[in-house]
Amino acid sequence: MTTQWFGERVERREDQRLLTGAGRFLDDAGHDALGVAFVRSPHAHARITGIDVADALDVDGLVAVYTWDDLPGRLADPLPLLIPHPDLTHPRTQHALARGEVNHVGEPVAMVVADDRYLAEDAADRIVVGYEPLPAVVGIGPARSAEHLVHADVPGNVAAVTTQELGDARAAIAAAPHVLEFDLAMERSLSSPLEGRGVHARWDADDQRLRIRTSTQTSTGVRAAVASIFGLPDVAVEVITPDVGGGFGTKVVHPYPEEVLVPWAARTLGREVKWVEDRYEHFVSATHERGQEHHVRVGFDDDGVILGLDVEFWHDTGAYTPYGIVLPIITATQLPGPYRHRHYRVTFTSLYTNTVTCTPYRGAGRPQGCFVMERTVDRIGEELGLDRAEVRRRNLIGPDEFPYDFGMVFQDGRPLIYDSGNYPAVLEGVKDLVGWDGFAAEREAAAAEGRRLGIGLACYVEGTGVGPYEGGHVHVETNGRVMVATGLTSQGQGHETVFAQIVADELGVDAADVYVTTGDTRRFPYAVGTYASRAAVMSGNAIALAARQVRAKAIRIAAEALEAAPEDLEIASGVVQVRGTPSRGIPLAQVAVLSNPLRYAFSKEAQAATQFASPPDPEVPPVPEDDEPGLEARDYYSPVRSTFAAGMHAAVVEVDPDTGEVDVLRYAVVHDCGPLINPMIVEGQIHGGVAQGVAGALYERLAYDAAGNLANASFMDFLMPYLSEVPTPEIGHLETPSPLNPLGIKGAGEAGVIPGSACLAAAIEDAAGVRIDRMPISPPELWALIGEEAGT
Amino acid sequence: MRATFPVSAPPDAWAALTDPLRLAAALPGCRSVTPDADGDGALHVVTEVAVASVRGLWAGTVAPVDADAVRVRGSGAPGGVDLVVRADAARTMITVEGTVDGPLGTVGSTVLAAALRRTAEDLLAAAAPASSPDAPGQPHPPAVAAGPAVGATVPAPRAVGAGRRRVIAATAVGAAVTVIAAGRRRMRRRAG
Repeated sequence: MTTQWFGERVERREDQRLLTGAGRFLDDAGHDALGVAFVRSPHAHARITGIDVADALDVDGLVAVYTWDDLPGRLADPLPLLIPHPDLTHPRTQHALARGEVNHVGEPVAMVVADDRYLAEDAADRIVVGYEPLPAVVGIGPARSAEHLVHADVPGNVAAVTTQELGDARAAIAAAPHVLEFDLAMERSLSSPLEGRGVHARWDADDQRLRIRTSTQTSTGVRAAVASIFGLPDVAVEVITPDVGGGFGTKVVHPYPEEVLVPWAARTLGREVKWVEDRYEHFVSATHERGQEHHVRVGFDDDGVILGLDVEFWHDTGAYTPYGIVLPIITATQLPGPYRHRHYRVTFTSLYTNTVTCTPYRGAGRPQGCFVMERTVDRIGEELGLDRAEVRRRNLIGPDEFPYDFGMVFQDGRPLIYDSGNYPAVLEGVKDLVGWDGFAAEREAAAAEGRRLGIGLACYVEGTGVGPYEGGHVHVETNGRVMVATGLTSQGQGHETVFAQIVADELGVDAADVYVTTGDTRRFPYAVGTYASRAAVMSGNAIALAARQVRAKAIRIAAEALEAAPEDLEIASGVVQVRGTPSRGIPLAQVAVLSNPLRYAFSKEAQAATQFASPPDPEVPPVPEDDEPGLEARDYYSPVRSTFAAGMHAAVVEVDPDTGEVDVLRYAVVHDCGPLINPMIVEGQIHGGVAQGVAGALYERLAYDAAGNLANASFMDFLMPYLSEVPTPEIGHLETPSPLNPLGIKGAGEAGVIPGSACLAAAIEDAAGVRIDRMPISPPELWALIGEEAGT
Repeated sequence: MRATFPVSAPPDAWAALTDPLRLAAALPGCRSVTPDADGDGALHVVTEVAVASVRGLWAGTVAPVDADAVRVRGSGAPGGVDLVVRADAARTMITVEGTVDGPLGTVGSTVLAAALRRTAEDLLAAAAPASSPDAPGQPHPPAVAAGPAVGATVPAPRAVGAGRRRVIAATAVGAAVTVIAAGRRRMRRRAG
């Protein structure tokens, strides 16, 4: 009898630790480390005229102050451009410390090291930086008008212009019986994980090794960057990602300035050095996202079938482009959603502004694309007087049309081909879940009580499991423990649990005997990182492949020991046995002993295993050719292209026209990410995603003033909703397997956030009877729109 | 490293610094200032150095380069120093250029520059009242009745309390300023 782990609601292995205060986060390390504080620019755009540290010298405990002038060699160069692109004609990256000019409030100018963080802050307060302010470019409008430039050598503030086209959209629209043209916008926001960034570094002079702990989404990325910039051998740089209190995209940047400066200071000073980001620093120096303005032209027929779609949009990339143009590329390529398009043209301009740099935040360009597509479909329904769900149904790609090739290039540089899905079934599911068809009566009943209800719906397709690869290492120790390592990091998703479930099934062991390590370059040196909803797909499959190798080896060794045919053996409950004959078996722990000809009798397993050891053949070396000691294996998974998950959200809201308040009464999600490894964890991802989606639709925004000051850079002013504001979604699952990977799975990390703004905008529009064409929306804004509508 | 900064001091402050005794008194943490036995104008200086959290005894020489510059070389727990300290003719600007290594080399160039400047200012300020030793609130010179003979070591008062905490890094500059003044006087003598 074999237990099936895949698909079970296995409790999260990490929760015992994380929920009882026993987690080991970045700030739990390095109690005696020197503390770091950064002097950051108070100006959005300025020339630095001088840095006077004289008063800081009076702070007892000051160790050092570093400015750009102190940075040696390649550390003085601009930080790496992580993702170049031929259309990114004017890439700009920042220096680790500002070199003569600052381009956003919060850009680091000087690094202060002291006996502890308090003293470092005291010293930083006493440093006087002279600034000659320059005109600040804030927002897409001023960036486009280019009256002032962010970078003097970047004309028009334009980093990149890209166009992709399927068919001939403009001709198709010109020939269409109906054409609509309108603008849609989404504002900037940020990930705001519970734990900010942080770096702790120690130079081990005895080993000549740099050991870095950083709260990152890619330890191997940080390691490669540091080794390269410092000219150190890769093996001399160890990067460990401890428990991480959320990332949501912003921690994928590698390296952040602090991730090279702290290790450099540790090596320079020969002391442990630690920096932990405070919340203000997070608001003004961890990356943002989302700010985009779109112009849409759509042509369609009398049935609401889309004939041509032409979208131009402008992306606010902030002060620099370390992450290239990935975000607008994702918007451009994921905007089509689950719909059949024959003629689609998209062109975007990525614009510099004197604000914090933008890189992916959970959803990564998709919330904007979904907002544009779904608002467009709603407009078509309104124009033709058709039910909005029906317009969607008529445009959905059919279940028999996969693989569906858009003839475009996706974010991974691979063809945009949807691998599998069943969109009509998802639509039917979410309509049932939210009560779409009975809503008209519900609305009327509410109206009779003087209440204004509305319903909205939004669909998305999400490319997940982006390559190029991940790897896994599976090692059965002689004590029976199964040690698993993969290089990508965890930010709390539950990797320890789901990877253990996968290995438990592959090896026939109890998931409790599987111990998973992530994000430690000492354990697994090759990895990409945790982003793009890729961890389960990439590392899950790599680990499964490695476990299959271990299984094959275990069966080979056991077959020899049991004098049985390999094909007659199975592994059940940690014992390799003749199928159906548990009496003829050998525990995996003992197979692990047999796998190594050097059998110290350190343990009972080793002693017990000797009974199985066959007499050595004098003509064969103890480890035969093509064999290795140990019951372990390493393997990699590299997909030909991304796998596409999909889902639909529907919401019922109530709007109070007197106050502009929006109350989310119901929120339904039907989600298809292929076979579920652990439904509880997927639902957790959806709950969190919906919370972040509602937050982004109704509460969270970054209030930059015209001078580039972030007016709400604290949790006093930035409205992160409480649990009281976030609906508990009703969730339905579909499980359409992917043909692209051995486990058939698709990613689920970001999906929950993607359609939030589109879905709620539709529901609010339906309830309030006013056009919603930009998100987020606050009660005063909605109240004003309702007032305007009433006044006209 | 390279640092340039303005200084402002009455002419007699520069003159007072030519006296090793007064120099030793003016330099916080100074253990001794010993004119070189060869009479070549060089001074041997032993002093405590404290820049940020870098602390310790430092010993070195300050030797004239020309009428306006001296070279300061030495080492100790705080690190090695090889700097040319140059004053402009008007004695309003000082430029320091050279290398600093060891712990002193890790504190950051802005910190070093600020420490050098502060030491120069403190030193000149402390030396200024040498012409009016009864001025209130100024450091008292060590209790040595007469100026030392060449080759004798001038013991300096121990730096205490705030003196330790204050940045006295640049013994280098202090001594250098002294020797610049001394050098110019010698030059003038030769010229005369």
